Amino acid sequence: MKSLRRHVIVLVLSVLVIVATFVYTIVGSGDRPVLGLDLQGGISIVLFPEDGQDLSSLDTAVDIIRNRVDGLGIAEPEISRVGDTVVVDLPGVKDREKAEELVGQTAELRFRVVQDIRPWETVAETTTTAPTDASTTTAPAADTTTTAPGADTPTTVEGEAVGVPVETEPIAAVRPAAQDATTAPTTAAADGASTTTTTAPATPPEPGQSCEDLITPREERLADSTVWLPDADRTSCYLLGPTILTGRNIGDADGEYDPGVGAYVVNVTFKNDDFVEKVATPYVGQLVAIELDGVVQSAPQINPGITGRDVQITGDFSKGEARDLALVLRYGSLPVQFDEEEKTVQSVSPTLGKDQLRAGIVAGIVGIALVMLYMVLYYRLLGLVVWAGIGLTALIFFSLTSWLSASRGLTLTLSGVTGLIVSVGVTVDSYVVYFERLKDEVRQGKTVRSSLDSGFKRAFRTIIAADLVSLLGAAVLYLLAEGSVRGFAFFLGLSTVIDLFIAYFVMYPLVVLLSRNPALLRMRGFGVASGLDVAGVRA
Amino acid sequence: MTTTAPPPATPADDQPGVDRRHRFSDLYHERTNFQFIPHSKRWAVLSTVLIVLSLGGLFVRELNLSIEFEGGTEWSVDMAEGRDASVSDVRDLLEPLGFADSKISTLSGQGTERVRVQAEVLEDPVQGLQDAVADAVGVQSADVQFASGDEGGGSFTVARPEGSEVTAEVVDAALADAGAPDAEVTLSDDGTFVATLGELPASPLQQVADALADYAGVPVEEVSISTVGPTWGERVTRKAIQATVIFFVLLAGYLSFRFQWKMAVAAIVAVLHDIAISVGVYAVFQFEVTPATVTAFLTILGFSLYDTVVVFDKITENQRTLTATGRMTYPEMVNVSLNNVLMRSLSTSLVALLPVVSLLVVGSFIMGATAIEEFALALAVGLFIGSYSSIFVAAPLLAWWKAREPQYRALADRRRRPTLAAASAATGVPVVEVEEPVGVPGPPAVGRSVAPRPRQQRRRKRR
Repeated sequence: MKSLRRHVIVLVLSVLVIVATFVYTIVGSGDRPVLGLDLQGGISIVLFPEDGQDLSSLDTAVDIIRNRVDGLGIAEPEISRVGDTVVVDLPGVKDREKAEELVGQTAELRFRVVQDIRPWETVAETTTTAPTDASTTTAPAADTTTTAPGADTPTTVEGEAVGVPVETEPIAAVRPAAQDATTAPTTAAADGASTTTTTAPATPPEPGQSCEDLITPREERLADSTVWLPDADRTSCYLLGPTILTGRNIGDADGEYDPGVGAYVVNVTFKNDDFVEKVATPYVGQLVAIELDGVVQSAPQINPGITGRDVQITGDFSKGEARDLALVLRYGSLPVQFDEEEKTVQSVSPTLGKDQLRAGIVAGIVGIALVMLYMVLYYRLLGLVVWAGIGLTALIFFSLTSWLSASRGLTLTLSGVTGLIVSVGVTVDSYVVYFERLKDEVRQGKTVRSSLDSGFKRAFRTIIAADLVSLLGAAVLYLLAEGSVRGFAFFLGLSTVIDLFIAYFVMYPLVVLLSRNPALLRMRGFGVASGLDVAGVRA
Repeated sequence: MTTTAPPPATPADDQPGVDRRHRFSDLYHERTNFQFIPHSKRWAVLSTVLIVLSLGGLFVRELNLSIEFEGGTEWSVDMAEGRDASVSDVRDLLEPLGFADSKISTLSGQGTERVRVQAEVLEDPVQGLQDAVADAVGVQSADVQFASGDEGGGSFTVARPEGSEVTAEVVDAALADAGAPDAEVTLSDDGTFVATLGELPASPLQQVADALADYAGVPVEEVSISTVGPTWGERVTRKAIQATVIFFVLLAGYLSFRFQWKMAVAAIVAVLHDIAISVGVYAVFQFEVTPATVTAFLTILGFSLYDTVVVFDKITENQRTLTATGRMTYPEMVNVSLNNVLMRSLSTSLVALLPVVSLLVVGSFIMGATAIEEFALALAVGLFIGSYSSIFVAAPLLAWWKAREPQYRALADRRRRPTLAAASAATGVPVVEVEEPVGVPGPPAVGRSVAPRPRQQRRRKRR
């Protein structure tokens, strides 16, 4: 009976966890699943290209915006080209600014030479710690090196605590392929850049001036002027020379783990030799900032010897930082500039009425009720195990979708809701596999009690074999696909994992507990034995 | 129920390859002995016919892709001062025009309310006439101006290109060919054709615009009509296809590792079979393919594979206990396995189909939620084919293929000639080619495990 107690504990614990999470969602966080454009409406933004733009690449711009808005693939926005404009419909976004921010960033990605760097706070103070270590997202002040791929360990120089002179803080180094990283961090820039500085309206730094004062106002941030710009988390500000290259030259960028370097890196492939000619060769040893929409995304140092189109940016990146930087590099620049002034933002009504949602839900409930009825008719008492499983699965789904709605912008469209309902039907298969297995074992002459464990072991192997196929599909589609296919993969993976969880932690202990009870086992016409199609006596 | 059955879950008296009548209770008590494998040819013919029809259908009629994939037309209009817009009103308005399932929404927040309608206009007669005029004159369709006149008429105006010798008669003939025989075409002195039509075929594009203008209380010129691009970009499709192909490669690897490579191939063939037929159904019946349908297809793909894996898992298990002991040939064992999992397959399919059918019947027919109709339809078709293919495509293919392996061919030979084997053993004449099959221990057991005739006859009588 020792194992019986274990089953009780497992069952009680898992039910408690599920119910507690649900209650927390309902009462504690107050999050609810957000409904999609078709059911709840949202915000519609119309972007107008600036006059005289080449509209042939408008479709590409649509693709890029789509990716930006729905990186996770679960928000289901609708982005389309209407005439010569781009219409972005975002579901459930109540906050307009947030919506505009999501779509925004229509600016160009620019490469500029760094001429000066200052920590954010007024510099004069003495013991201020350095602009932290490299843990912040794409922190430009971190030790970032740009190298050609294949190079081994980069010379990452610790961002030391600096007093005043910014020059001592090396930010980046670029090295040629496979060359050892010996580049001593050079002083940050000003001399080399001065040769190219032509129109320089930027304020000359005066002692005691803080970044807040220095930052160039938005309207003066022209491509060919010298500007003061902040980094993403406002730890430093940068004096930057005119744009020497734009993001249009970037073919592809990926944040990935490089075993040679032993860290996450960003590999960039340029479309042409402009990077080599305009950046890598003239600015060897200097810091070159990557600016997007008035923010310095990263400021790697150019190591000598870059001759090819494949360039690697190394640094103390986390996986997420590397990916974010790659994303900015890849999609940062839209091939079409949109007119900020002309843009319209309106709220959009749902395309389907509430009645459609109600119909979907009613139909779903009827369907699931039929499933439950069938299960009880066929498996008797064991059918109630399926009921419990479905109920708990529903609770988990509610909690998870609420949480994902709040944190990752997940929205449920009508087809999403119905898809969830259908997936419940599919996951019932795990129960069927187990119960049928029990039947097999009992028919081979075993007692119900002795079949419980061996039957579950065997059935769970089958379930895992089959679920792994689903998980494999979900993982591949999630990693490689885009848009709503990604959203689908996300849900497939989620429901498969939940299925495995429920099968192991709820179904199995519950079936064991029911079957170990002689009264429930032998109950006439409804007991476990009856559901397994064996005469109560032998069980 | 007899409980003297030997370890395999076959009902005691059933013999491989011997058909018998079944009752419904046999199904419930899982005592079936349906002959799936011996009738493989039928299923092969059926599936082949279906696939040929599907591919033929796909070849003849392209898939009917929805506006999300292909783009379409967008009408939008600002409501006149003081008028409110409602989605359901507009839907009622457009229903008689055949645009009930268009995407309708209202926009608010900047000035007056705005109604936005997006739909696919498959064929527009006025557009057709305009094209005909443009063709005849030798200019782009956009160079032809159309103005709708009073009482359903209208006129096309187009400038004759320099050096062109096209006459009014040619244009008139072109219009007649395009379905407007009563057009009056004139050519003015400055080289401009004016084609006036007293009566125009109904133009959906114009009809919707008129209806919207009427609803908004503004002149029809204020309805803006523009083309709308797809929201489901080509890039999304391309990436999805890439991902699916990579998935199949990895899947083949996984199934080969977990089971055996021939099972991997059979499973993938079954899934491709499902995809081909599902797509074929959509092509033949011209159901609209929406993003939700694609999601539904992917669900089915997963379901079909899942189902096949469960069947193969059973086959793998029975392979150890049944063929390894030489009791059955491979196809016989597969057939037993299929009967073993039959009830599970039926239950699972039923359980998966119930919510879908409910969505279709309760949701869309009774409660009128047309939006879920296509989705549910795709799922229903796919789930059905997915369950079918595990039993009638994947398993027979596997059985057919495995039976050709030397060891199972030897097993089958021995099973076919038990008396010969016994005789040769008795007389001491060695039977050369069939003995010593790889990995099959105890050949003599084979002959004995074949059931004695009397039992079989007894069963027949009883039934």
